[in-house]
Amino acid sequence: MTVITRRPDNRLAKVVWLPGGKTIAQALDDAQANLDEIRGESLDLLEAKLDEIQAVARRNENNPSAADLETLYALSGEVLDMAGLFGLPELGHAALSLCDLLDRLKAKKTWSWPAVQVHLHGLLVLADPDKTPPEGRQSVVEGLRQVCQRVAR
Amino acid sequence: MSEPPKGRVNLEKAAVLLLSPQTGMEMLVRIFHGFGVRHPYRAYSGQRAMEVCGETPLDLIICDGSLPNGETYDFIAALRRSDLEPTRYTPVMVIQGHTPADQILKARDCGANFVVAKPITPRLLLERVLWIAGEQRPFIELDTYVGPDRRFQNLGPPGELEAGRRRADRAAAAPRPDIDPKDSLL
Repeated sequence: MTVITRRPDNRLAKVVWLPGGKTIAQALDDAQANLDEIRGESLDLLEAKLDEIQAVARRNENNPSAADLETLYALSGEVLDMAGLFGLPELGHAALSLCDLLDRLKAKKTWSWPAVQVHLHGLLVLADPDKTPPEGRQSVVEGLRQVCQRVAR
Repeated sequence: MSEPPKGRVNLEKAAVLLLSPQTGMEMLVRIFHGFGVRHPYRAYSGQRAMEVCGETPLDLIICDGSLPNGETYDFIAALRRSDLEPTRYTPVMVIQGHTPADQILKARDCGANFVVAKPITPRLLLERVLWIAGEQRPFIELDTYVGPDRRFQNLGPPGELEAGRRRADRAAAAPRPDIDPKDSLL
């Protein structure tokens, strides 16, 4: 097998340390400020996605259609996209766990409403983080991971 | 290369391509504007991303892994195997949500420099961008793989600020040896 090894310049390294620019703290503040400009509308959108997840899942307690499974997976992915950027990392991890659960169930061609249901409860709890202390939120996330791994083993 | 200025980052002149579905693009653009990138190129499909790569040299490519059917990974693999010099060597960072089981191998072997797991924060992204900027891995071309050498000493990302979801991320909190910890965000 032929292996070719090259040592190209790291183009990013050539610009990122140039004099000027901004402090790292300022860069982070500016990025967060830019996100905060759309915080309200994004949280509204996030809430709508969560409502849609609950609605789609609850009409599929017994025999989910392939289309609804895809919709649930996509919606969970969208929640994951937004949650961390707007201060809801545990909600993001719960959405990731739901994605993982749905993918595993799909691969095994099976369904577990209780496992999905507990994720729905978890999403509801984590969507309002002020009502649960940080250690409680972490416990919820860890519990969802365990449910996912156990059910879809 | 001179010693990096302490605690500063300059992305004003960086040519950055963002590849993302419509839903996540605005958030990425806002974050990278905040980091100082003036005019990031935007692509909503792998095909458009490849066109941009052919039009201009790029310094950094950020890809959301959630394009349908593994399109993100196909784009990266195609770029690495293309004759688009010098952009085929450009650092590529993938922002990855959940990876379906049937895409895991494709994601692993596409030739990205770094994978960041969602949920992301601006801090996490900037950490990884600076880590990539300090990277000096050789570029390997094999029949089965083209991209940064994967046989490197894995010191992990620079000091973790938040627990990552991968066990390896959480364990590898050691700062890179060539970046003084007090200088990093990191």
